[in-house]
Amino acid sequence: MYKENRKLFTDDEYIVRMWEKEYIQDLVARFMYAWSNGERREALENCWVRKTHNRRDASWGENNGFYVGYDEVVRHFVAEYEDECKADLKAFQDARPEKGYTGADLGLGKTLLHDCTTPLLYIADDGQTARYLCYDVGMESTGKPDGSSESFFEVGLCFIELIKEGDDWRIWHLVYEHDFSMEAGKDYGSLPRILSPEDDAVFTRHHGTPTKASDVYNDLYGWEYIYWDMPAPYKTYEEEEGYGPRGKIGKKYYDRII
Amino acid sequence: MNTKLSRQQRIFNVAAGQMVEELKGRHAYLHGVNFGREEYGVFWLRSTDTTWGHGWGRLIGYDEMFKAHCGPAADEMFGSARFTGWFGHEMDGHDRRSTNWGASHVLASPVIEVADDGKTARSWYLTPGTMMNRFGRDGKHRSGGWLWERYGSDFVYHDGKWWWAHEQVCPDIAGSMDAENWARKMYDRCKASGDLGPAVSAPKNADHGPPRTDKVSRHQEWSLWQTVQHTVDPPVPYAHMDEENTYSPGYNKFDVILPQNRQYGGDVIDD
Repeated sequence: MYKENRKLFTDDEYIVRMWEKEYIQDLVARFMYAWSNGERREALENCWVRKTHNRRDASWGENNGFYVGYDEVVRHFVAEYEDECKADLKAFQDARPEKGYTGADLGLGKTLLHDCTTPLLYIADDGQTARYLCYDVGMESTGKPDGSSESFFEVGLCFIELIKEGDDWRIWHLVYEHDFSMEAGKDYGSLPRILSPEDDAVFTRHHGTPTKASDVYNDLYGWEYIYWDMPAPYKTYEEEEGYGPRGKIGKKYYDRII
Repeated sequence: MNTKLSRQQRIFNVAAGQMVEELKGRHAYLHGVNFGREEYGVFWLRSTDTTWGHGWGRLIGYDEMFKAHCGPAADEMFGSARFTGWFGHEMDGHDRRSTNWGASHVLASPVIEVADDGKTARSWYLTPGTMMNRFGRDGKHRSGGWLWERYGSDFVYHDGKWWWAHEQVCPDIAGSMDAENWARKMYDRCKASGDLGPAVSAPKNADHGPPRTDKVSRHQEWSLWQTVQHTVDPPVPYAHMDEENTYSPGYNKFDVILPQNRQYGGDVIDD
């Protein structure tokens, strides 16, 4: 018979844990909201770990690997996005120099929305870490000076590991398993199963060059490891079971057998 | 809102509400890859009053529900049977269930109520979800769809744990991403079948679905000629599960049947 770890708590402990679950869901929602606003640096500063040793271990996973360490997360999540925004702005400036666009217009033409639907959240029995899974039904659009745009629905799984710093919960590890990009007005069902590298580039455009390259997720085979990777009741943090670069996400079944 | 509960009852009920959120989340991800065994075999109530409803009717009892989701019928219903013979080494070491399916019925707008007696809980959710995969219908082209549904779910507290007891799925609208005018498509379909009149509301799903006891359809896909269907209204505060407070009328006698089902299906239910 299936058994799962379910520790019993006192009423007062239950109250604290239930309160903290609500707090964590708010925190992740705030992170998504800032991401949607294009306020990526603030999203990291306000919602991610602050302690030095936690920042050293912070990570962001994409389909093609892990960005390891807070600075690398900033490089990927903030700097690469700002470079993209600068290039977009330059296109506007070049097309209509009389408008006098300035750096204050960074993000011109961008519309983003990322969300955290379908939450699944467990706080460890020891109350020091938590694992959270949500599904992002999002969109990203970049306007062009000629009035056209590159517009996509973007969907993906978002595995998040949080750690307590003092009385605050902070995001520590995040893995974004990017499922699909659906271009506006284009029949996704007409696309071949395997795209040419040139055509595939549009779907991998946000993956970047991770610190530690690895085959974290292949949307060709769907969520085949979801049962093993999704949060479940647990006692305490163990690195190999976590969502960091040395954790289980991205491992093939033959690497998971002990 | 029930204001007469004790502090202890309130703590229990809030914890129960969060447990319902957990079970709904686990279901959403496991159903998304058609991992029936890992879901229905793990946290569904083994009872004769366990039911699973869709537009095509209801699966009655745990055995019927389990077979539909975890056996060859599931391969047929969810389409992974199509994979047989399609591919060679490309599928080696991979799970064809997840490869084929990709039903991301994301959850939104929850309403959850826990009975005053603490023995049952009820939830209502909407899904503005997607149905995507890379192998499509023919193995050559991708599949990109969206599907909006509403869900009514009942849960039973038994032997110190919450178990899923009833599910009623209500598919409303669906379409291809991002390729079609879904409203026009419905118009064309109605016109082609001569359905351009309010008299056409006969069950249309009776021929679909897995083998099942109850073939009465409780929810139809949207049409041009019907009102919004109140198949699974959000739960209201309630004292205990009964025919007025259930998503599966006729199958709510858990107090009576659970002792009989103590070893239902050969498994002892304990924690």
